[in-house]
Amino acid sequence: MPKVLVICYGNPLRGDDGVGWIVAEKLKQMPLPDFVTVQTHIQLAPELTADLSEADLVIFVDARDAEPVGVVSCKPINPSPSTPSSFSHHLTPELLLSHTQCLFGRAPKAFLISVNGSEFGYQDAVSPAVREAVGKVIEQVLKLLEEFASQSA
Amino acid sequence: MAQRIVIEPVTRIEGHAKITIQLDEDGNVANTWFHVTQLRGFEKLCEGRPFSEMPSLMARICGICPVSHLLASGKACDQLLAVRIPEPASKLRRLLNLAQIVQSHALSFFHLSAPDLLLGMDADPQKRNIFGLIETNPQIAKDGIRLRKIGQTIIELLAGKRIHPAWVVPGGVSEPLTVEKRDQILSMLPEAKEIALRTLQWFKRSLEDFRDEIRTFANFPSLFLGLVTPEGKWECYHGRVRVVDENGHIVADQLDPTEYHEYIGEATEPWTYLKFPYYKPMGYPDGMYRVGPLARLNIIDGFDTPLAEQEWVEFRELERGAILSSFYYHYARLIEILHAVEKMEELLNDPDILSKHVRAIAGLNNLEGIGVAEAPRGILIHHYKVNEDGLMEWANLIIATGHNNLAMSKGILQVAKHFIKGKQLNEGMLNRVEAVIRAFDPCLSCSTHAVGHMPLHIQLIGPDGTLLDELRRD
Repeated sequence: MPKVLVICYGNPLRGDDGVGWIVAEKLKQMPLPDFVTVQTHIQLAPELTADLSEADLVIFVDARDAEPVGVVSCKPINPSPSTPSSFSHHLTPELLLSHTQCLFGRAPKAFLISVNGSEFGYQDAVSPAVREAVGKVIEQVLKLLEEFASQSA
Repeated sequence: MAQRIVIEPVTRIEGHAKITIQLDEDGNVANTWFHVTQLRGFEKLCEGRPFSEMPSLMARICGICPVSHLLASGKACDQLLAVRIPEPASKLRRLLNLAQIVQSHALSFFHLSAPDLLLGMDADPQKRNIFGLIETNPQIAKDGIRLRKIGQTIIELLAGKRIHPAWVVPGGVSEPLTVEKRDQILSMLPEAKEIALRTLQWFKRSLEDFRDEIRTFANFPSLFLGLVTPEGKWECYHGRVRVVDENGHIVADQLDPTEYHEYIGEATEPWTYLKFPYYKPMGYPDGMYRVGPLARLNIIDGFDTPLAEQEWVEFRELERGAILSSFYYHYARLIEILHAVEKMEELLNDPDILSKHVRAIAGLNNLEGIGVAEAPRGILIHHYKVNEDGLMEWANLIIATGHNNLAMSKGILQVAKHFIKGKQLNEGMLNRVEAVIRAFDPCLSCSTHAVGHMPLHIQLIGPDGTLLDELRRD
């Protein structure tokens, strides 16, 4: 059976950075196909390579500090061995894919859905514009899942 | 002309610290200070909260070892209820602690220290990290990632989530273990055991390459302190305190951990937020002791699982008395991972582990409670006092990293004296100073409840304030 991972990541105590957690919560309440797993993480960590190596498609959902606030973008991403941080737990999706490729000999097809945000201070709620964007993110995730299902059929 | 070197912050440890190194007029190291510069003070902020909130609240101290705080806090709350928790609950809590030891030790060994061990202390710091390891030693990196994931997945299966779970409650645990989850955990353990054995074999073969580090990494006499079973075997959840000296002789045994204040004192120094616990009968600072994996393997009479026991016998043959070099913390961690996996198998094959009777219900019966357990980094003590309404009035937490503070400070001086020469700094020198701290795997977020760190900035400053040399990592 094919496997799809939706990885929603960010810090829910840092305002708009927590949008992924809201998306994940809504997705978990929906009747998604059995092959879809939704995960939430505060940040991407090397351990995720093991999960990625077993997936056919990975959809990352994150916030980014950009204007105009609330705009949702979606792009395919590829493994990229960019310069790593000196620290052990800060990773980009592209670098995570690269490590998956390096360690397990394969990396899944992947997309990054980003939501533009502006409030990243200490607060446990996202800004109104980002909250409004949640529906668009869900739509985008469902569209990718549909495309994947039709390609796998 | 005396000079001063400052390493700030120390990297690849959990939390924020800096090191000051004082040079004498000839450029030799005269003294060192290990400063812990941040404070969150959980003891203070929990005042006024209901004691039932304490396990979940205390787990927030740390994202690496929340389970340890959860357990020590749960045990302190059990005392407030004055209950003896059901045996299955005790076994489930023990299981959780073993999984925690696996994931935390895997993080320390593979992610934080293996880059030094495999890529070399003098390697480019941009490459000397888990990512560099993935490129150069993918099998070791993969093993580390798998092992940590296995530990975290077990925690998640048992406690609902891998970080900050709320499954441990006063009186036991909130949910029993299901057959499905037990079988799922059991299915992961053979791989974990294979990784632990493979890594141990590799590490033992590599020891010859680290003769200098073994000789100089906090290699001095000290006491060692931790929990043992009544039979003197390795223990991580209950047990009583044993203290052993540098010759491996037992100084004190079967001490009641809840009477810790009788034999552990806490000194303070003006240049750090981290206290200096010491063994009271020997005074401060002579009562310096070490805790954690190395100490645990020094104090015990053995393991009660076959593979770990076999490795422990070989480990103890390294020296006649106690194993003194803190470099061997890494070795001890690997043996503990192996034992944790064996012990989890044993516990999961016990039918009692599936019992539905996992929580004792009671109201407040004591106004004071003390919980003690072995965290991955060493013995952890939570001590609470509450009022008649069950609201917290006072808390004292003594954390593994605090216990090791005196030894870490002395270790830094030893390694700095050996590796730092002259007025020019280089990464290799400074990394060894940091690496001795990493050997202890300190968690400063726990010990001072401080938040993290980022770049590294080192300055060599002359007595007149002139900047003589500088290194920066962004």
